[in-house]
Formats: sequence, structure tokens, C-alpha cells
Amino acid sequence: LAAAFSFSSFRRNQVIFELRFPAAYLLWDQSGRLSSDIGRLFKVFRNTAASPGQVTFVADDRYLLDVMLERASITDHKPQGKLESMFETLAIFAKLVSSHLQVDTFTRAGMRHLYTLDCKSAEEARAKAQLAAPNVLPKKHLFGLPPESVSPTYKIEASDGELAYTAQLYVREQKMDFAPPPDATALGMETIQKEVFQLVLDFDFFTKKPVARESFDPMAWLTGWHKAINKDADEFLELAGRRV
Amino acid sequence: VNSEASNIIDISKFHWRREANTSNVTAIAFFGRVTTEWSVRTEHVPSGALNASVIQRLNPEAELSRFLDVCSKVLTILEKCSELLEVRDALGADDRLMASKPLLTELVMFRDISDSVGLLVLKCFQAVSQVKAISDVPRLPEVLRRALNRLWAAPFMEFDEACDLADEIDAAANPISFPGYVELTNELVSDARSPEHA
Repeated sequence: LAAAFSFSSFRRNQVIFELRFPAAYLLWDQSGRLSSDIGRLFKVFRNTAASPGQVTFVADDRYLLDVMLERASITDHKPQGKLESMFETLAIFAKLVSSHLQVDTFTRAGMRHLYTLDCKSAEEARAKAQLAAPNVLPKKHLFGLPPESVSPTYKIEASDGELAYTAQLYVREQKMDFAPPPDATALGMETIQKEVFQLVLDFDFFTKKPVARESFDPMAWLTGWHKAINKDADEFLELAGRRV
Repeated sequence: VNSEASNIIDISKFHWRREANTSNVTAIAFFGRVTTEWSVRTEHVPSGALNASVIQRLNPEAELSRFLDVCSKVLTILEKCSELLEVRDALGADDRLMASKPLLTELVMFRDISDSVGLLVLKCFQAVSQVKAISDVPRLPEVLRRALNRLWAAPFMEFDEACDLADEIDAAANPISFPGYVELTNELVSDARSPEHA
């Protein structure tokens, strides 16, 4: 039984690597040094916010980095192409955070890959979701009104006590509204409004038990999780497309 | 303040706090959203920890997984070697130690995994290579086993710790300067204690 869409028809849209740890108060002392060291990984590196509990950076117009008291995450918003160098960046970020904040144990390590199929409208996205994960279409009034659309989702969760994942298929609608300040408007900048409709394949892999820093190799974990996706994503799509 | 005198709650005395993220999903970060308030909740950290075998299951082709695989093979040999030494089968123990040599050579190939791995695999290889008779270095298999066991569990251990383990290996590998010393002294001591000699 073939799936409505193959895994190759989706585009990798976001990759997130997140580490959680017991409260690392060294963030209050080390955030400056940490920022300098992380900044060396990128060509363009900008601090966007800093507060006692969190420092945030953007880098190379694609990475968003967050370091907080109890977790650190790095998100690649342009993860297309070869993943090797991106994984290296993610791994170095993890090592820098854990060494500067003297984190000995990660209570949770997680990696999330979002793959998307762009659609022209919400209706098209829902229609594609209906193809990928068929749901029963209501043909009569429900709660006094005729149903207008269905937005099918499909979700699998699994855990063996050590490793776990959540795999999902759903429709995502994003609306971006950029309104420049008056001084920028005077320079010719215009308001931008954009709506994006996508069918999303969302894989979230994570650990269920703490893992010691001294036995944690981010690169091996990142590549391992990625291989797991490549191996079984098509089967997940096929399962989603089966009617019970 | 809610007291007997007044049941009015002064909301300005409160401050908003954001709970720590304990959700079950890897959080997606959004540009521009910053946690301006924080609070820390003492969480129960689940007991037990993931051991190295998990990565072998997740990513068997990774260099780290291959290293752990070879490492566990060496550990099995060293364990057997220690057992044989305990029952005074020096010949058998010596055979086992020699059998570990090619695997230790293989382990040296993984020296780039971390500085600690590099130091300890090289030290283990050197120590085993210079053994002429296992009876000269009776503590060595056990010391090697402990060091490799630690390395298997924590390949990214602090370099200081790896240095301490390397010192222990050195001490166990070079207890005396000439071969046959232990056997010779044992023989001499037992002779001296024997009733015939008395």
C-alpha cells in the first residue's frame, strides 16, 4: 500500500537540538564568555536578548540559539543540504554550553526534525493532510452546523524507558506580519504580511533517562536519530495513509 | 496580604513567574520571544542513567559505537584473564593477555574520539606490549580492566581522571625492573618458610 506522499516530497524545514539539565546557575557568571566562544562558530553572530535566566542569539541568518538556566537549544531554520556540518555546529554548541555551565548530567536530550510540504492555501493543506492521513468526512450537521473542513492529524508516540520519540503529521498555518516603525517606513520599507500553509512531518526524538556528559557524544546521537528518520519515515507515511 | 485584619490580597506583592519547561516535547524556539521572568523548580531527576550501550543501539555505525564494541571485547578477555590469574593459571592468563593485543591495537585507531580515549588506549596498548610474563605484572589485567571499564562508561571523562588512570596502569605495568621477579621472590619466600629449609 503506497503512501499518498513519499518522504522525499517533503522539504527539511527546521532542526532543533535541545538539552535539558539541572539548574545551571553558572549561566549568571558565564554567559559573556559563553557568548564569545559560541560566536566564534559563526560568520554573523548577534545577541538578541539577555536576561538573568536566558540569553538568546541569532547566527548566520539561520540559527537561533537559546541558553537558559535549565535548558539550551539551537534551531536551524535553513537545514537544507548536507547535514554533516550543521550537526557539527550543533554538537560544538552542546559541548560549549555543557563545559561553560559545568553541566555533568543532561536530564533530557532531544532532537526534532520538521519536514514540510508547502501548500497554496489552508484548504489545499487540509486536502493533502486528508490524502496523507484519511479521516472520516462528516456529511451531516454537527453541533447544529455543517462541518466545513477537517484537519487530519496522525501521531505515534513510543518509549522503551531509555529512548523515545513522537512522530506526527499535521497541518500548520503560519501568519507573519511585519510592520516597520515610522522612521523605517519613511525610508521606503513596507508592511509585509505573509501566510504559509504546510503539511508538516514532525519527528521528535529524545531520551527518557538522564545521560552523563562524560558518556554523551552529541554527534553520534544526532546522526543516529537522523538515520532513524531516513530509515522509517516512508513507513510512517504509509501507516498514516492506511484506513482502519 | 491575607490576614485576619484584612482579607484583601495585594496583587502588587506578587510577581509573575514562568514555570520551568518540563513538557514532553523538544521546544521550538521562536525569534523574539524571550523569557523575561524565571523560576526554578526542584525537579525529581529520574534515577538511573543511560549507559553507553544505548548509542550502540541507536547508531551502531558511529565511531563511538564501534569503539565501545571493541572495548567490550577487550573487557571480556581481561575479565577471563583475571579469573585465570586468581586460580594461578599463569599460562592461560598469559594467552588471554596476548589475545587482547590485536584488539588493543584496534582501540588505538579510535584515539581521536577524545583526549581521554587517546591517552588511555595508548597506555593500555603500551602496557600490554611490554609484558614478557604475566606473572611479573599480576595486577595489570585488573587495572587495565578497571580503566577500560571506566572508559567504556565515560569516553568523554575529564582528562585529569584519565591521567590518574594512566598513572595506575603505569604503576601496575612497571612494578619491578626485570622479568621473573615476582615468581622468583615467591619461590624464595616459600622456600624460606618451608619446614625443610628450617
